Amino acid sequence: MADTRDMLSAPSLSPRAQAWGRLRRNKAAVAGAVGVCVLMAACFLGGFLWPQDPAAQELSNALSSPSLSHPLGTDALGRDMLARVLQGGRVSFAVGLLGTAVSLVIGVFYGMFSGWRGGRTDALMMRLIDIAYALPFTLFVMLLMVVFGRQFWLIFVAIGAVQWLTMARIVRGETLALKQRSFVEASRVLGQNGRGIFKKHLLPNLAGTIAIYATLTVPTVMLLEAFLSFLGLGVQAPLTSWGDLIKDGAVLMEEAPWLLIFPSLAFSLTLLGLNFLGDGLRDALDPRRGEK
Amino acid sequence: MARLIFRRLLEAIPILWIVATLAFLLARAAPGGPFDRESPLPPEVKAAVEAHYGLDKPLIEQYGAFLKNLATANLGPSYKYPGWSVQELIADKFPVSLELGLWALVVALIVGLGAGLLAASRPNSPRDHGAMGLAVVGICLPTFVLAPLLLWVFAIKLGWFNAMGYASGADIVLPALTLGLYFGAFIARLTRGSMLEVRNQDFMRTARAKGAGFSRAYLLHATRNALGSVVSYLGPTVAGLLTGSFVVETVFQIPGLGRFFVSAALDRDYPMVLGTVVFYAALILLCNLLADLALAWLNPRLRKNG
Amino acid sequence: MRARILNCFLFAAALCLLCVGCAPKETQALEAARQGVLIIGNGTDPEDLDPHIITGLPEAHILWGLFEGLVNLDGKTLAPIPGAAERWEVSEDKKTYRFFLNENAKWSDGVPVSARDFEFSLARALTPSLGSKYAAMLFCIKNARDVFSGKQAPSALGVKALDEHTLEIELERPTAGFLAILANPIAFPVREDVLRAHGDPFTRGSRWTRAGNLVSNGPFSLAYWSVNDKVELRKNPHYWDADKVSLNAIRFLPISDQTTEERAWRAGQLHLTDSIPLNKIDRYRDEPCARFAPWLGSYYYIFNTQRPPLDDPKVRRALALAIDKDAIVRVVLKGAHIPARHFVPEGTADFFPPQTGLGHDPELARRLLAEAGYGADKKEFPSLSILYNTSDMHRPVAQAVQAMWKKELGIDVALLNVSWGAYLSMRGEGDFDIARASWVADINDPANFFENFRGGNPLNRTSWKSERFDELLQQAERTDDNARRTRAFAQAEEILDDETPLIPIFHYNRAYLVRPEVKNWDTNILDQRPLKFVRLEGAQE
Repeated sequence: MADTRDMLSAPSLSPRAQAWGRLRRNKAAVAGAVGVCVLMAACFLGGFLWPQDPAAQELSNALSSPSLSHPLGTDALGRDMLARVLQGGRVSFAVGLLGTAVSLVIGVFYGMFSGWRGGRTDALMMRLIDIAYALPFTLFVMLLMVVFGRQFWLIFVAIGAVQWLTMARIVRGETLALKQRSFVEASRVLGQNGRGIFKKHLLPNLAGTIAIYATLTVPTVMLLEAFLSFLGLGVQAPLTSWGDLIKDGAVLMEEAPWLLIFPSLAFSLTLLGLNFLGDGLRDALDPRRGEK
Repeated sequence: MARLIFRRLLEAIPILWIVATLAFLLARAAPGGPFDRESPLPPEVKAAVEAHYGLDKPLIEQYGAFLKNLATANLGPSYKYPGWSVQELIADKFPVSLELGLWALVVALIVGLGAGLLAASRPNSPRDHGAMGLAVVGICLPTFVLAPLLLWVFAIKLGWFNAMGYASGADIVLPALTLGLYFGAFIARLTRGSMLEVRNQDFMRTARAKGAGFSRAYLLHATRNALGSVVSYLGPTVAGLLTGSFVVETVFQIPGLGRFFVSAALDRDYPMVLGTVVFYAALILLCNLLADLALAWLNPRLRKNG
Repeated sequence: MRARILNCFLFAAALCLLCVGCAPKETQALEAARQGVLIIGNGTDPEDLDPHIITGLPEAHILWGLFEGLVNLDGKTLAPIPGAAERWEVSEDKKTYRFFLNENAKWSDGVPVSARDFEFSLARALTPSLGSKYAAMLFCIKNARDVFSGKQAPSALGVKALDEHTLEIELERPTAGFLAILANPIAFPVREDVLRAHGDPFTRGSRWTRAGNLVSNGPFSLAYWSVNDKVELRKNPHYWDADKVSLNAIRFLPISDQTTEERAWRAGQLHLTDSIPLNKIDRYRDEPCARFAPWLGSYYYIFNTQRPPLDDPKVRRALALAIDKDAIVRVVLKGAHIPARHFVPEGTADFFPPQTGLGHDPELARRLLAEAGYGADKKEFPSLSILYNTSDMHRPVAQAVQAMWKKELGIDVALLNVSWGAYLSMRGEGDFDIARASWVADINDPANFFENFRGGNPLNRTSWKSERFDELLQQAERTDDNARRTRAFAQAEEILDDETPLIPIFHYNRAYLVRPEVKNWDTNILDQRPLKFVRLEGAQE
């Protein structure tokens, strides 16, 4: 009954406004959000701030260490690393956020529905996930490329289509547990319909897990994209992504450490920011949190 | 409980059948064939080789033959390694991946649960941020960066370990760490999240009210209940861990199963693709069953409805 | 409290892990050298050890230790020296060879090697059902082509065992490099009774090549083979020249990742590597352990000459002249290879191509392109793409070419990076504009290169065809007069330069590392590696 008591004790503000307030008071989360926004803005507006062509090569100036004209050095073909990191960021953000969004939407609703209905439907839906899990990702992507040609958006689809499976399993597990909890059972007994319970109880209670998992999914998606590039199925050169840059840099980490350090730094800062934001969201969205 | 196990085992048969069928169709739809080479075989030779493997027959007949073989647990010869059969190769390589995977799992659980519990014991403290910051670094250091880094430090600079191979016991340390730390970082994040969720729930307050010391309540009740999402995550993850990793096996030169998953698809070695997919599917089903059993054990209320 | 216990536990665990490797130890390479065991990084995983089925160099490297053909090639000069045959006679008309087998030659199980084994093996290599990739190398033998396509019975093949130790081989026509062909795996002997013990000798999928089953006639025999793990050879005590074999064993490690191999080298786990990663070339360039041996191979781009504007030789020539191959080799390839102006590497069987060729001339390139009707105020150049498969080398080369075309000609081309299987199928079906290609010769003969552009040859994916070119190849084939052959080849090379169905980019060097303990390690342009005479310094007898 703790749930109703919390609601009664805070009558003046809507739950959403409360959550927003809690998020804003969380310093780490705010810092994370600001950091990610700054990085994203830098990547998408970077072309104006640093108008070097990321594909322009200066073969005579290959693998030069950071300097005034190339603040992050140059790569093996003499391309400006700053321009490449910014351009890679655009691809990585696009792939990471859209891929995660695709997987989240499918995964959350699939998992919630499966867990809520339970019984036969649940068993059937979970077995479908098992089947999808077992299919070879590499073949799947190759086929997509063949059927639809090599298009940028396919990478989101391919990655989203694989990532939602884990999300669905986790959400389903949480839903099953929530279903048994007193306040949900109470609502059911009181005759609230399914949609109401979804909106009022399930979604808010799942929000924390979803937020965390989403921040875990973004890096996975970015890395999957790098793995696809590794197999020759990712973005086409000279276009690049952070995962791709890191993969290339890892090979040269002794000879030209800046090729690994800078993209990794950008990547890590993004993830660190997303991580704190995710934690903050989780704490803020937890309906029972107020009394700590 | 026994009924659950029995039912799931029974269900496994149609699932494996569907997986095998889809994989069969996927493999055949991909461009190129298993006997394409840089310098192509003369057409008559290619025809002879394909006829030897029955690839000249109509697809439906090949599918029938494949199912028949599958039912008798015969996965056929590998096209890439003509002197070996697929089940021989799986039987030869799986134990290596299994051993490595189990060690990696141990590392992942120790690091993941340890860091997660540590962080959740005092949320938003430096301890929390430190542990979670490390976890994030773990996630964004993908295996193809972490593995060369570990090798550079411990094999090249310090000379403590071999730089590749799988001959002596010490050879397992670096690959197990590489794989384990990566998954450990995920587990840490999930553990912390679930722990915080559970901390504020009714029964925790009840436990504390009943006078159980903080740490006892924390460890006994909370951990048990918080492990749910970790266990859900572990189901498919363990299957993936045990069947090896393409990157880790390539970087450390380990003769495991993981490389076959990618190379078989790239080489269009159809029997190998199908063999590994069916094997992996069976393993996933098993791991998910175990995960569900563990979930039921962790949450007694699920048991009766299971 | 609990957390502290946990911390202690973690620390202890870490400490244990670290201690495992602490004991100082002798490197594996030194230890193995003491035992007379040579450890070789052997590139990609060998797919099979059947000499008539294998398709690649990694397999061939192993087989040169396991088997022995009628003749061997000298490690340095590639001149034929006695192998399983101690001497041979050639008839007046140069069409009949008679080989006298070494009477001491024995298989690894002690059974004598007989002329019948060779008769059986050459016929087996040409069995259509076996689908041997290299069968065409034997087409110089009488009726071989017809036997291979099933038009004649195997008994019609011009190979006859006259008695236990005498073998006669009849050729279609005099063939200059015939003896060298016999040193290749396709001409290695296998034993009929051994093959029959493990199934049908004339199809794939036999288990006879597994350790314990395989019987060979070379200086070494197979002791262990596990896929993706290693192949180990042990000295064959029955070998006729066993006294001269110094190594006790050879361990071939299939290390497909170059970076992994280089790390293993530095950790002292290998005597020999298969390669040096491009970005480590600078580190090893001046080290005595590094070898840069010219290799009979070319790396080039082919045009799909059916697709406009690539059907216009001027456009193709313009694209070729705009590429600065010296810069590509110097920067992208770290000087590890040789810039190419021609298709055939210089010195292939003493053939030196004309000095003209396709150099770097952006000025001429722009003019040619304008003549073809493209340029600033003319037609817009259609969008093209370069097809290549995933590799650490193909990608930077393609990006450099892309940038050079953009800079010199103002042309935008896209890069199309696909996986190996998709690359082969797209290139095979002609589904490309420009594609990366490479060719490494199996035998030391320019004809082996030129075959790639003969009209109607399935190897030729450019759709380019020149009657004059085909005629020249035929002329060269019909004669064994070296001067006439060379003249014909020079003219053929000129046609390739003029019509430009391909852009030669560089000729391969074989770059790899050899530890100082390894002695008698000879290099040659075919990268054939005779293992028989290799010695390890410091080996205990």
